[in-house]
Amino acid sequence: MMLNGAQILIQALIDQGTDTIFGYPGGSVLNIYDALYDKQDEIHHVLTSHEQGAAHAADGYARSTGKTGVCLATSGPGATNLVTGIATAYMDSVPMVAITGNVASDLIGRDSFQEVDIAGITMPVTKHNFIVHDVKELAQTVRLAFEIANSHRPGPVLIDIPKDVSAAVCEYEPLPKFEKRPLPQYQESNMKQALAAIRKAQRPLIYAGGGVLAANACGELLAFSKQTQTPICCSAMGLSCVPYDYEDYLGMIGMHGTPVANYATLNADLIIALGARFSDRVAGKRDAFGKHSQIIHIDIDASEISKNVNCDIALIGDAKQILQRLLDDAGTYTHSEWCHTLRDFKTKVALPQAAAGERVDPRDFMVTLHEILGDDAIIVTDVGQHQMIAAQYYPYAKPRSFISSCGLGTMGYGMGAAIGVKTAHPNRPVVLISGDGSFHMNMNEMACAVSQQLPIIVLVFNNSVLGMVRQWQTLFYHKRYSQTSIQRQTDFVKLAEAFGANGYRIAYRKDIMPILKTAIATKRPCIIDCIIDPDDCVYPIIPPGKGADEILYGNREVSS
Amino acid sequence: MNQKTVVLSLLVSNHFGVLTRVTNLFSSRGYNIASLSVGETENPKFSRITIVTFGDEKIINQIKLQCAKLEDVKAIAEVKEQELYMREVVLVKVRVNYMKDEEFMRFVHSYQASAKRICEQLYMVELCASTQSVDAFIDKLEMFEITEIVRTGGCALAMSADTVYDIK
Repeated sequence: MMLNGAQILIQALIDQGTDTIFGYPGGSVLNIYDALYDKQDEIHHVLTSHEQGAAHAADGYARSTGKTGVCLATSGPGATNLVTGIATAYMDSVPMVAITGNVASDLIGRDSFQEVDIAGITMPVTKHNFIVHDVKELAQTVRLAFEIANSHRPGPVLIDIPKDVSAAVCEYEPLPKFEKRPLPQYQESNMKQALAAIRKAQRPLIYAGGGVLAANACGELLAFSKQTQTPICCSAMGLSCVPYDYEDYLGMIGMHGTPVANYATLNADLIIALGARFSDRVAGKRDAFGKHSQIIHIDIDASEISKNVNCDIALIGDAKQILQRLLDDAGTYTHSEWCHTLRDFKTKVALPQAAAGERVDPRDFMVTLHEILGDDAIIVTDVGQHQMIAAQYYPYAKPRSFISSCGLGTMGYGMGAAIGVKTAHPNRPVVLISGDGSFHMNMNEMACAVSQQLPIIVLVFNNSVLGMVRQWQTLFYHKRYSQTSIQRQTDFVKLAEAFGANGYRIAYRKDIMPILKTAIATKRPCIIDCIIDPDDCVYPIIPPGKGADEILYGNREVSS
Repeated sequence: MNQKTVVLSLLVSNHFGVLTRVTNLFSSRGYNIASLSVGETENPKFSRITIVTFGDEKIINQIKLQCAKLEDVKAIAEVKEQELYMREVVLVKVRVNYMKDEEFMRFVHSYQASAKRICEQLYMVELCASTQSVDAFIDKLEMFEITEIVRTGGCALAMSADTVYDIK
């Protein structure tokens, strides 16, 4: 069958399992949009307000489903607008294929209108990228891009297609759907050592990261934890891989982690890091982390082993495969005293309680939100104080129900991501928890949520300041509040209405329940402006570069 | 930790952009490059990059693992010190006082280098040797008047039956 490059691209995407694309048209992708016109029944195109929103939407779609997120943009500014979204996906190992049009081959290198070297620009933030020079290579390039994006440690791949290539015609032969590359194999001798260490351990601890979710290994993780009575804490990327009500779940580890999770890292004699990378937000003081314990590091990416924190035993491979082996051979153990100590600690030194009184505190708000939404909801966040409070207090029940930019910390991530999540899960409640700083960055995507009829609930925790940066100014910069009191006069209720969405305001605690119920019942996109205290700080905090023993609890009541 | 210098030999896809990917990785992660050379192999699908780098053992290990993750890097070998065979080329333009012509030629030949006359008293000197010999050669060549120098990075192979293709 003779097809042009644009038709081949769309057909190849369909052949690789794509049913949804997030994108924005432009001059260099006119051919591609023309081909898409004929395939609207097979590929759902979501038109965002800005290409950055499209990249975040593809990311949210991928994180919440495990499938490949696909975004499409034109050359030049369209392509550069994707970059923050691609980098966000790269840092959090999200499978994504980003497609950009480019100017025609004979215009490349001449500083033509809307020309940039997007392959050069995205080199450090993609697993790999391609410039397709010949239409005959297009279909296999698309297949290879999916293979790379999904194999081993997932990540984004970019395909740049000059306009003459999307116009050129050639014979199209369908290719089979990509297959993931064979998994790396751990060394048997290391496995023996790991099994022996697990057998010997008196106070073992699992530190689970995004690799558990990527490998769909949450069931195996819980089974292993129960079989060996090993408590679990998660990095932010690992959140939602363990149900909140599991009695040996300790919550988030690290800078804003729970007191008990950080206490456990100081007192464990064996730490099993599973699909996690000891980032500076987890191990602020690299030399001090796990100093008194043995560390088994399980990861699919060999370059993560001892990159940040030295480990004693390395198992390179897929979390699911390795957990299955551990379940078979590790035996059954009890560590009642250790688990009892931690459960006891958890009740005595809990996360700070919500402030009393009639004003809104996002902490108990999270609990109320879960009460209303139930276990099925997916929580998307932006970046800042609200993100950490959502990570600390919201009870996550199902895998992939916490969608957040953890590695790059991209303010403005949430609105686009929520569109991707809701597109993938039209029947599940999707709530974006944002702040007035983050929401201002990409709130234009509210227009997309309205036009796509996506009933996303946006909670803007509004303190009129850039809360997290201001918190650091409070703690580390002598309260010199440089440029963090933003003093905008944005009326989020009117803003919502201007977008064609519903707007609400919650100023008092008593309003939370009725307004949330109304917002959910209308089944329309909405913004809820939640007025909160500008001086509120997220605690506990382990100051940057410090160890878990230097944790600060702040002035808040910690015991419950 | 102790710093050491190592020679890495990479088998990479032979298309444009590959060298950029490798050097980008070094600069974005803050690794050192002491010298680098690249060229095609017997198989036009592949090029070979020789990189001399230094760092502590942990960093060297990271460099190898991070390079191996690049899609275009097909194999990576550290050439062992005891098997290292490395050569580089230096070209030097030298102006020689006509009184010293004879001494100059004797010196050039003592290093098994060669010299071609460009014009009058100006010579093009060339040497292919180990990095240390090239360094020493340039040092001593200072007794004449050097007008410009260019040297390649080292290219290396292991003095053993093993090849880069044996690496998985």
